[in-house]
Amino acid sequence: MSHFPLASWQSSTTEVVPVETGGGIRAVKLTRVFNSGWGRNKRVRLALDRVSFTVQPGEAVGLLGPNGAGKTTCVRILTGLLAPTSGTAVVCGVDATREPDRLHVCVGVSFGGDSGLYTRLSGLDNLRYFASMYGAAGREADLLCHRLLDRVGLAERAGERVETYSRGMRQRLHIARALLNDPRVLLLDEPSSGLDPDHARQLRELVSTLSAEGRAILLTTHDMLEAEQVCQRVVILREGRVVRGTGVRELREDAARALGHRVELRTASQPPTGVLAAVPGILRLISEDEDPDTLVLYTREPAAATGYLLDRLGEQVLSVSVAPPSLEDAYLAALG
Amino acid sequence: MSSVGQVLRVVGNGCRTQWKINRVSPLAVVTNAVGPVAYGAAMTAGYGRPSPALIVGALAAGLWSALMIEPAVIVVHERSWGTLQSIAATPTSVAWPLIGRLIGSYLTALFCVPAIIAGMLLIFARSVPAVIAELGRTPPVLLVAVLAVTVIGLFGMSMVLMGVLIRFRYSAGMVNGLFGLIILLGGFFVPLQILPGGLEVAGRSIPAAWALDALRQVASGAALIDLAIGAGLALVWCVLGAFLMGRSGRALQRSPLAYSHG
Repeated sequence: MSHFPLASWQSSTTEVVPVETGGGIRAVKLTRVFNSGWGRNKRVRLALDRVSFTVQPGEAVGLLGPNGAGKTTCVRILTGLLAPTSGTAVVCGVDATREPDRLHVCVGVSFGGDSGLYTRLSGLDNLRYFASMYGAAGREADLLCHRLLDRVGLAERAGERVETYSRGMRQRLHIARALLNDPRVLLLDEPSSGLDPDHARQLRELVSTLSAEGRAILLTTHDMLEAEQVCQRVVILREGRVVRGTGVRELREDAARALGHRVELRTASQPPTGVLAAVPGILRLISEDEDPDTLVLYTREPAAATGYLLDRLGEQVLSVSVAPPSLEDAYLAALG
Repeated sequence: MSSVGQVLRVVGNGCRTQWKINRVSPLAVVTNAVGPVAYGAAMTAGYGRPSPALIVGALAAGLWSALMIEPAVIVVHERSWGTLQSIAATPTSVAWPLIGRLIGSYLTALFCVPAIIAGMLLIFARSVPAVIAELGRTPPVLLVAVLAVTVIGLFGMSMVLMGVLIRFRYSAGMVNGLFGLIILLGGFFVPLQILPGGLEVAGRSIPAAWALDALRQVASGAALIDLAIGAGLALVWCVLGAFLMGRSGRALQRSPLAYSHG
């Protein structure tokens, strides 16, 4: 029995076609303990500790965290590749912990990187091989594979061996493979890892389009720009625990309140210390050793601070710029 | 649950994938043939001249030489390439694509058969007429059945090996000791009756041993009984192998490291 519909692929590659909605991700107190060693050398590691979060259809959520935080473990549990120690995960209405085999019909996963593909086969042969595992056959499979390769921009290199592909091309092939069953839920594990800026941008645009089609997307990444541009919400893990789960905008606003806005000030001469100390909402002041005429300060009241500085320093001010905390700043602040 | 048609498609694709990944290498064909021919020559020196059983045994040994390491290579490759995880993320059991690759390995191993036959003809040139005459007295159906039981039995054992390798991540090294052991216990070159008691008993678990005994006992009329036992054992190995591989998906879910190698 075929596990995938062809209807949504019959549009042009530039048209956003909504897919059947109804189904996202709901993880409740997911816990995973790893045991290693024997006897006195036995070690127990808590990879996930009661992790809970949701991803709605049409939403892209970023799963962030340092290396070893449990992101990939979480993705594996949600795809049924790994059994949790406790907790539940419902994906596309299927209990991933009790019926992992049913998940694979509606979930697409891309682990990315250089692995996961047969490098001695062509991109097309790779897709055909995996398409057969989803029940595709004959002309139907060929049609699907060609459309997917066209969609990810690999149509011209379809017949070439994957070992000749660049990193970016392999990442795109991974995504094409993850889309074979037209999944309602897409799990992308560091999809832009190792990509140059241009390829990373193309990948972000593709992921945004997929999200706009109504799919629930969970994306693990170290790239804050990617998280900021693609995701509506982020879940931050540290040592297996959720330290923060909120919207991207809310996270930055919270960071702005805690860390302040960055104000960079260039002056013709060193401003008086008393003036700087009285800047409204000032949190801290940093001077640039390499450029003594440039000062950086962090303030909770950027508008008032800018007005104050322009008023008090007048023509001494050569330039002033204000920037809110980046998502990276907010992420690092959340990690503590 | 996958339909029969889908399973056959996946197995067929696995077979094609194996063919594309590991094409026939003339060097591999020759080296896989040399060992069995050398064994055959050594046995013939002790027993006079080659018999049909010795020739079939040499062919089986050649297949086993080419194939013994393939389950380990396939599983280690799939882990190293990360494709085992990719397959496990599909609705299809990991067993079917891997069985397809194993079948593909068998098909490429068949290329060593002509090399073995050629080697045997070269070494035993003077005995060829007598061998052909003896082969002429052997019912062709029996010959084909013996080959089939031998090959299917080896395939079943390969599946069991593969199932163990999937379950135990660092067990690939165990294939190193299997070539000589199976050659000895499988009755490929010597009948099991001449082995010490314990070894003979162990050898009786290998389908090829019964099948080759059937060839040796054409004249006595006990061939069919031995062949039937061999066929039954081959079926048992295949069922056991399919069971172990079918359960491999569950085994992989216990640890994230199960999908990778090293």
